[in-house]
Amino acid sequence: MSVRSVLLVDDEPDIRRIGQLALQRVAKWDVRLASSGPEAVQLAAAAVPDLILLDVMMPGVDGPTTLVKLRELEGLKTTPVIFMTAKVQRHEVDRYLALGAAGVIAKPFDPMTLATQIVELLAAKP
Amino acid sequence: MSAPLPSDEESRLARLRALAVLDTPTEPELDDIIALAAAVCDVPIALVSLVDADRQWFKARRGLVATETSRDIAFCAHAIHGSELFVVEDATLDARFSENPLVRGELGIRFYAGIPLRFEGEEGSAIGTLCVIDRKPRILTESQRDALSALCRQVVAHLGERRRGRLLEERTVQLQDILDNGSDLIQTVSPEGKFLFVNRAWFETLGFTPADLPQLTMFDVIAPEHHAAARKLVAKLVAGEETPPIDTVFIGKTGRRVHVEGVVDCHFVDGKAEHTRGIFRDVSEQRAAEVEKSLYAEITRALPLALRIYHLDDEDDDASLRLVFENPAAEGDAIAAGSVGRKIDEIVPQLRALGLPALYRSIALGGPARTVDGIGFRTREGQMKTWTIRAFPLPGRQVGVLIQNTTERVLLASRLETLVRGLQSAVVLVTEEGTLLASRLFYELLGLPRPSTLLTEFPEALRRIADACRDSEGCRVRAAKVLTAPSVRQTDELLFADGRVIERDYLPILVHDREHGHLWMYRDISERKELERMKDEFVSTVSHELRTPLTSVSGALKLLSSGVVGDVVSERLELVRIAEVNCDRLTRLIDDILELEKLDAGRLELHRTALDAHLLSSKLTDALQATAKLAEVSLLVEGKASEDVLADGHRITQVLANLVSNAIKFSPRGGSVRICLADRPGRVHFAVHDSGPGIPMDKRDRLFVRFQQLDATDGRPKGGTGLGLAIAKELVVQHGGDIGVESSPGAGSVFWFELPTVRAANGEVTR
Repeated sequence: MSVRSVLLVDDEPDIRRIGQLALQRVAKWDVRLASSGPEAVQLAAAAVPDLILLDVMMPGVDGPTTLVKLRELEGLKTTPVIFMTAKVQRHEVDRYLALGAAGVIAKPFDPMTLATQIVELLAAKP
Repeated sequence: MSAPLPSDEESRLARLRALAVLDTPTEPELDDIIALAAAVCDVPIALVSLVDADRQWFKARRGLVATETSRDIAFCAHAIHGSELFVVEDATLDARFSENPLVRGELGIRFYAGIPLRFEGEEGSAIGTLCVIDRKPRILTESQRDALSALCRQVVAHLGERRRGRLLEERTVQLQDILDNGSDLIQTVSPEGKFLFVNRAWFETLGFTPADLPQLTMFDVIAPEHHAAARKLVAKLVAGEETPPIDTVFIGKTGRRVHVEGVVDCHFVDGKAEHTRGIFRDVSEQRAAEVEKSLYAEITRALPLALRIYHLDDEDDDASLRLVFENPAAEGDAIAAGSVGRKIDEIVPQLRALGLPALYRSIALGGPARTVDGIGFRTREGQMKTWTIRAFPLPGRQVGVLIQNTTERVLLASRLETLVRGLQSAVVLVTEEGTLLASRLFYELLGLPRPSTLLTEFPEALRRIADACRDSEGCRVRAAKVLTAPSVRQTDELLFADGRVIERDYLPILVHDREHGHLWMYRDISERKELERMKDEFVSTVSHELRTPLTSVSGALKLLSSGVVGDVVSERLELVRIAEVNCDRLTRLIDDILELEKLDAGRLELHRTALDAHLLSSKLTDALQATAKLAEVSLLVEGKASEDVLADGHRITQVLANLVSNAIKFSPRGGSVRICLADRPGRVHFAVHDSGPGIPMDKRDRLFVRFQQLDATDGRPKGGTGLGLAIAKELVVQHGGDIGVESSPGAGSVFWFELPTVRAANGEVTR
């Protein structure tokens, strides 16, 4: 599939900005930003993106919980969700994949190759 | 008139009886002699008359029908008084016989001549006569008298022969009696060692039967250690030399050892040794008693325990116990040494308070033996000492007392007890007998009050521990397992129902490699566990908190340097690049520290699968070709491994990547890096060859130590964290492999590691 629009969810404004620049300037994707799980659910429900990049550790509602909420929405059942996290121990990765994530990207990520990484992950997923 | 009795009548009769000739049948030899006597003297009657107590009996007679006459009318009763021929030429003219019925009566004796029967050397009166009788008066010629004397000697010789035979017979009977009924062992043995004769005692003592005898030689019967002496003895005997009494050991049929003493001599015939004759006495019991006596004396002397014997002088008064004996050990005991002859209260007055004199008295009067433990009192020198005694009855109102000084033992035991009980950890010491010593903390661990009597048995303690656990059954099973193979130290963790985590450490108490008790140590490691948990959480948080700003910094720098957000040029770009490189380095440092932390805690999970070493290496070189090209270094894989290794692909790639990256970094431009694969027994050998400057010998040991980076000789920035090789080493070791380096300065280095093959890891092959 080709990606046009991305919803980037992270409680860190700097990371949101870096991600936005990386995907807009490097991959020319349409990037929307959410600073929390509930905001992400709201935005996604308003306009379903091609892909959601979801931070794991967020105050209040964390990434995995947000994923569950997103999946409850009509139209978001199959939207690919990729976690972005600093915690990439194997058992954690396994847990995210079991929740239905399309993949995991480790922080710190390389903004210049972030889009390529995403495309590769989506391609690997049938 | 009848003849007077001889003065030695009694012994005369005894001699007669000893001949055992009275009332025996006639004998032709004697009949011939009296026939000759009658012929020589030309008389009708001749007799061998034996004068009994009240008769004369004729052993041989001629010319007379009667076999005996009364002694009081016998001519012979007169003849036996003398030693010469007794002649009555005409009885009618002799006042002694003129009225004798044999003279006056039908027989009408006129002439009598009798020679007393005397054995050579015999004194006193004779037992009878050889006599001739006629019915008319006669005078014997000299030659007739001589003939009668000669014939008398023949009679005496004949009777003597008879007496000797009789004696011999008696002696034989006596001898047989001695042989058969004596307790001495008698044997005659041929010079070849064969038994010719043995007596009944010999058979009975040694347990052989007459049927055994033909197969036996004397050496079968003599104990082997006495064979040499026996051979010497026989040689001496056969040579006719005198031999001293013998002291030797016979071996009975059942192997019983019979100690004997005896004498042996040798019987010679014509100067030739015919047989040896031995007579022995069984002295086994006597010897055993002697041995026992010596042993008793020696044991008493050498006994490390003090032995004292008291005599109860007055059976109603225990103060009358008087010391009558003490052995050397007792003499060495300063408490009562040298007190023989003194009374118990004078010797050790302390005993009275302990009730011992009363006990000794009851035992001296025949009471049962008693052992008394833990007798303790202060000596005159003021030292506290303890003893164990054993008092036992002895004959004659005596009591023996064995005294063992247990002061040292008791001290040691109480020191140990104090040590264990006071230990600042929960310790249980279980002795072989199953008694238990527990420290104060052990009771606290179980929340029990302190009475030491509560847990006196180990199974009870084990049960209490198991009961406190969440998994009681598992705890029990593991403890039982430890005790089935108690020779090694073992540790496990117990999770108590109240949430505490207890580390249980087992240590066998070994004496000469044999286990003589158990030591269990319990440590409450709840706090440590909690700290570990907090550390994990901290590490996790730190990693997140550090990485989040790093993500922004590195992302921003990369966007800047890439130019996507506008051009950055000249020195500004250079500065951005410096910030970027160091940001990468910081990121890797955080990763490596977290990785090592995980490795140290043993919490790194390895996902092992069968891996093709060549494929893994090739994939890696593909991924690193760009880096190699940048460094102008060629990178290739050589060799193959014929078996797969069992390893975590991700981790081993990480190890190999680290070695290869280092190799590229340290190789000069135009150099080469080779990954060489080879088989080793049960393993695969990975070697990364570089063409770098090599590593001095003295620095090789430090390579795998944390934060040890070698100086880059060419000054190029290498950008490592100093943790790569330390991590590689930990990873390889956790795979059950080895890692190392070979290098010579100027000739490059070879970093290698080896991993077990799948078959070796599964135990199918051994190295």
